[in-house]
Amino acid sequence: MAKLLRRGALLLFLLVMIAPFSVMILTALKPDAEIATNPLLPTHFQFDNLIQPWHDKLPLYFKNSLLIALGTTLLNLCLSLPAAYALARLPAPGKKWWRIGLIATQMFSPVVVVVSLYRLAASTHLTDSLPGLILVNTAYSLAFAIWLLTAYIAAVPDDIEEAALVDGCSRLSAFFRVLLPVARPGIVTTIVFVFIGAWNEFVIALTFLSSPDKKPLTLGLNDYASAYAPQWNLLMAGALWAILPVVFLFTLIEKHLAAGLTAGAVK
Amino acid sequence: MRHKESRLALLCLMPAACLLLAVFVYPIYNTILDAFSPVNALTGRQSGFTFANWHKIFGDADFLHGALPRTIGWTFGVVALTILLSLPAALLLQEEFHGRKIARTLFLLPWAVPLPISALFWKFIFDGQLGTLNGVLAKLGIEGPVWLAQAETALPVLIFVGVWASIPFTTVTLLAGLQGIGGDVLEAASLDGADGWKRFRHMIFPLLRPVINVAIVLNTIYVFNSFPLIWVMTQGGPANGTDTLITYLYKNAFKFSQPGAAQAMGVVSFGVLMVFSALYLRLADKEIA
Repeated sequence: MAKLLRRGALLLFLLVMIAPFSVMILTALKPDAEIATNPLLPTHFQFDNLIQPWHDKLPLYFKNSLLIALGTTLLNLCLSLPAAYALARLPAPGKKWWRIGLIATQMFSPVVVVVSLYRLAASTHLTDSLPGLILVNTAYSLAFAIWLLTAYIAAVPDDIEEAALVDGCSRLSAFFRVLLPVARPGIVTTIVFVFIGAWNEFVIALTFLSSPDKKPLTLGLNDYASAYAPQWNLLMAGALWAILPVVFLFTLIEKHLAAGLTAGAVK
Repeated sequence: MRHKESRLALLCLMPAACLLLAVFVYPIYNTILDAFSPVNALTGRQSGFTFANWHKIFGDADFLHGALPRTIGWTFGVVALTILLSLPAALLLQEEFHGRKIARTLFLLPWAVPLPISALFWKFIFDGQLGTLNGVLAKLGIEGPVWLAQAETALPVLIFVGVWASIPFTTVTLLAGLQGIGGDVLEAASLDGADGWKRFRHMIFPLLRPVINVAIVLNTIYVFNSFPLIWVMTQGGPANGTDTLITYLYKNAFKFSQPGAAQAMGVVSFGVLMVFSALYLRLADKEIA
């Protein structure tokens, strides 16, 4: 009886947690006329709605989101991998300060200094450009990535690399041929975290971008929603496509979520 | 050899350090300097030291009696409710049952979905005319309010959605904590005949306490910082009635053309975040490392 009660409570809880996604899917498949009349189930599902946004601006927004997220992930990895390697494997000066600095930087959201960031971007002609956005996104996800990668690299036993070094491998090739393959699961997790964070970013894109054709999904869909009399079924269909990549990636790293989340801030 | 290795370390750290200095530290420096200088909306910082920005924000009723106390209420409300609901959620998801894996995935899903898009879903649900909630209420013969058009209903709705958005992260953290306690302790507790509330109060809660502390501090920081949720659902309106420090800062910067005031608010936010970061550092040192 108590067990049944607990399962019931969990089911109810779960229904509230997924309520917005259920509403999204049901609305996305609704015929135009039924949006106002049928709050829940439509009389028939109009699967055409799912294709419609692709004839509109969705491909453009999707491309921009992809460029921003891929650019951020790539740049982040180029900077964080060597830094993490140094902190985990080399006698880097001031390691303790790096550690404190990295934790502290994870606490700050860019919105607190948004005026200064905007002015910095304006003075270097990087407003309304994807590279500017990528630079800021990278800076704000860098500490977290270094933190996570340092932990993953430190967890790989030293002797594997040392054996390679003794065998005449250079440090660089030991890094690429020995360490990277072993630390790959951790690196993949970090990549996914950074990618999701950049895909979901909002406030910097909102501040920096003014051209409609440079906007990512988070911004484009919101523009569409604030426009006069938006078609909610098509908007929801677009949103369904927008969240699909990150939902898929999320299922890949779900197991590592706890370790990653308490290691740093993914906003 | 050792000397060569520290040179290599420096070389590896340099690119990351440069980007952090330029895009992270330098803007913070500018924000602090701006807060004590005359700032022109078009030309930026002028020379001279002044407290004018501070007089402005503390003379602004919408800030002093609006956004500032509301931020405290918003942060405290969301964090308290989140912890209160995530604890039972974690305990329920910890049990073995058929379909647990799917239940966990669905439960944690909101974390992965972009908040500005989730906020759109909720905005539609709470929409006055077309909204799902009012639609269902209408079928039951009840006329629902225009939820997001008045601060009295908009603020509770925002807190509700804030809690919804914070629960996955918190539950994951608590689940990890429960895993750390281990099945044998939980089992031993039930063999002792202690069950239900008693078992939770005397066995689980004290062991989980450190993880709960971390969850509270991190949530406080995230909720305090949150922007997209409020911006998408109400833009801090109506009449600045749902603004927090962060959204009001943003409005001052980009809607009201008051960059000096915005920078002063940035420094206030900064102070708050410093306190909580220090708290987190102490907790992390004690409990995690």
